[in-house]
Amino acid sequence: MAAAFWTRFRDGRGIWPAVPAFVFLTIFFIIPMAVLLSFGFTEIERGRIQDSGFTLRYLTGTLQDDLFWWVWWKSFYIGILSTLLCFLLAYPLAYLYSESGRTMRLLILVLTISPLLTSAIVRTYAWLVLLGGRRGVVNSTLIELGVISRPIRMLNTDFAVIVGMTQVHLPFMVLPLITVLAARDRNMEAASLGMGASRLATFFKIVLPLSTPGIVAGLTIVFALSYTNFIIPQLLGGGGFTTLAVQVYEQIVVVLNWSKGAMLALLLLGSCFVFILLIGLAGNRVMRWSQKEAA
Amino acid sequence: MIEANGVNKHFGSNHVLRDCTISVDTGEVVTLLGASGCGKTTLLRCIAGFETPDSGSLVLANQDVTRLPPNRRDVGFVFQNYALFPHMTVAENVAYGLKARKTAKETIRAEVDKVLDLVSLTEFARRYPKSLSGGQQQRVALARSLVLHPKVLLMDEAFNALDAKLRGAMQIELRKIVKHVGITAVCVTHDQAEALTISDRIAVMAEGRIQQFAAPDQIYDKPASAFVADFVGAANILPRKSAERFKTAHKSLNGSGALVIRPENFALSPSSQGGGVKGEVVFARLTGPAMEYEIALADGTILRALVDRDRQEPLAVGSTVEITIRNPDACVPLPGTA
Ligand SMILES: Nc1ncnc2c1ncn2[C@@H]1O[C@H](COP(=O)(O)OP(=O)(O)O)[C@@H](O)[C@H]1O
Ligand SMILES: [Mg+2]
Repeated sequence: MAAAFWTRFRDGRGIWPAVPAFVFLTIFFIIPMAVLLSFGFTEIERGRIQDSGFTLRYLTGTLQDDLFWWVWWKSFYIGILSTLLCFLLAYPLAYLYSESGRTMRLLILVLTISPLLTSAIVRTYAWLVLLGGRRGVVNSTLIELGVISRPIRMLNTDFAVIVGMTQVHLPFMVLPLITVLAARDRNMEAASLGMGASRLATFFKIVLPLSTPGIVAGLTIVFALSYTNFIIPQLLGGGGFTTLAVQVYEQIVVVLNWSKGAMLALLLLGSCFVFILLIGLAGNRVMRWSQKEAA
Repeated sequence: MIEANGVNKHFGSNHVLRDCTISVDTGEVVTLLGASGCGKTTLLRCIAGFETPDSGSLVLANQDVTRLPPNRRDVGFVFQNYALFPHMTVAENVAYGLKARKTAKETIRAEVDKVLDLVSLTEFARRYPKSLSGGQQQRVALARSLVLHPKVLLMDEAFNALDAKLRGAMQIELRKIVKHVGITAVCVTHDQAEALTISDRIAVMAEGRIQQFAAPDQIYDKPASAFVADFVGAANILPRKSAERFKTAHKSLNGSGALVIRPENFALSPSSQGGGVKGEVVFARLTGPAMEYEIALADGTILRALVDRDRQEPLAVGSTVEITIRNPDACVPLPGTA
């Protein structure tokens, strides 16, 4: 028994290979996270736990607050819209990549990855310049061209936030899609075309469904990033603009109400997990053919 | 039904097909046989329309299709790995082409049932390809093509993914189904036994050229070149000088060039009486119903001989034998070679 245990340990079988990462994550992520979230169930004032008693006051208070639900809805729809926009932009790009020669592939890959080398905050500031008031690049161009006579309000709108998020998160959608599309079996398409299906039908019935793993990965990552991003909404949404993630930031850093902030963070995290789970389940449903059936 | 005339194809500087000309009659099963990389798949893909020849023409059912795309050629193509759609059930896979043609629902149901019955897969209709064995997947691929009643069925190494035992059975099965349907078929393989099993005629290919195009018995009995003789079945290819040694026993061994003698055409006698060629058994192997020997002649030439066990008791390695030819007329001279 002990010998078998030792052999497994030495040969790196079973769960052992995962142990170092698990220990690291437990110490530096799971425990601090648990401590932070536990603040949502205690009374804290001026950074000090007031009485160590357990309270559900913040949970019930938040869930009964109409403002919370309104903010939640805003986070949700901003997250969903920018994720979908990312998908619609990324899929054709990834498809183009999979159909291209070596030079074009390299170009697409470099253009996709290089934005990740600059800070997301810097890129968000760039949108301030582009979308900003009368002098903004977009407005001044449209006015010069005579398309509009007075500047349109673009900054400090949902539109600005969604555009900003889409741009910042696009690489995370493109990369998993590139992976599945470039590795796909071209004979499937040849077979479909050979049986008389059109190119369009072949795309929607063969290529698209078979890229489900990449789609699920991309949607999951980008939704999680968009739903929890608190910088872009603050910079591009303007003062009055708020999402759940922004609320967490404000409660903890500005208002210093750690209990409320922790509770909001818990709800943000929990709901994010639920959506990711739903995306995953939907993906599994589409992918049910990949499970082995009982013979 | 199919005519390929002087088809040439290059991939970059790689001249893959060189003046390939074959003509396939209606209802005939033809196999392109050759070593890996000789251009079989490329020729098949040209016929299917997945590749366009650089020069030469392709005629299907009296229509020049050289420039037509695959979907307008009325051919069925069975891919090397079958290319079944993994996210569709067997029935959906088979119905795919009919749906693309906007066939009526009831017709699709009836046709799919009929063809699944033909390939004995009725009970697997609702399963996904992943849960089927290799042989079953192959029959799905076949059914998926046959259901569209194409003029021509094209199959690329259709048995490669199957294990050896199943392969033989599936080849016979395929030949029966194809003959039952009466469809014209072109298959590709590197396995000579498979070619002999399934074909009415075989086109032996090497380096992008068709070496010989004839019925299986012709290919085996009258190989046109040393390559064909060696590739299809086992062969002893004796240079003319060695062949002359058999002349004392067999006056009728005429003709010029090297001589092809099949291993089963040798008779080995342990005693020395009949003016045959002397040799020593250097290797013996049981192949089942027959013994296979390697026999070294005095000049070092090694001959392979195959002797039915009910004709002769096995000979021991090291024993001296006298070799004669059983049927001198079955030896094939290859004029123009040494
Ligand atoms: N799409 C292609 N691009 C470049 N070279 C190819 C392509 N397809 C085949 N070839 C080359 O053509 C030759 C013949 O290939 P193929 O027809 O697949 O041979 P076979 O099927 O007889 O094994 C090989 O040398 C192969 O590398
Ligand atoms: Mg091939």
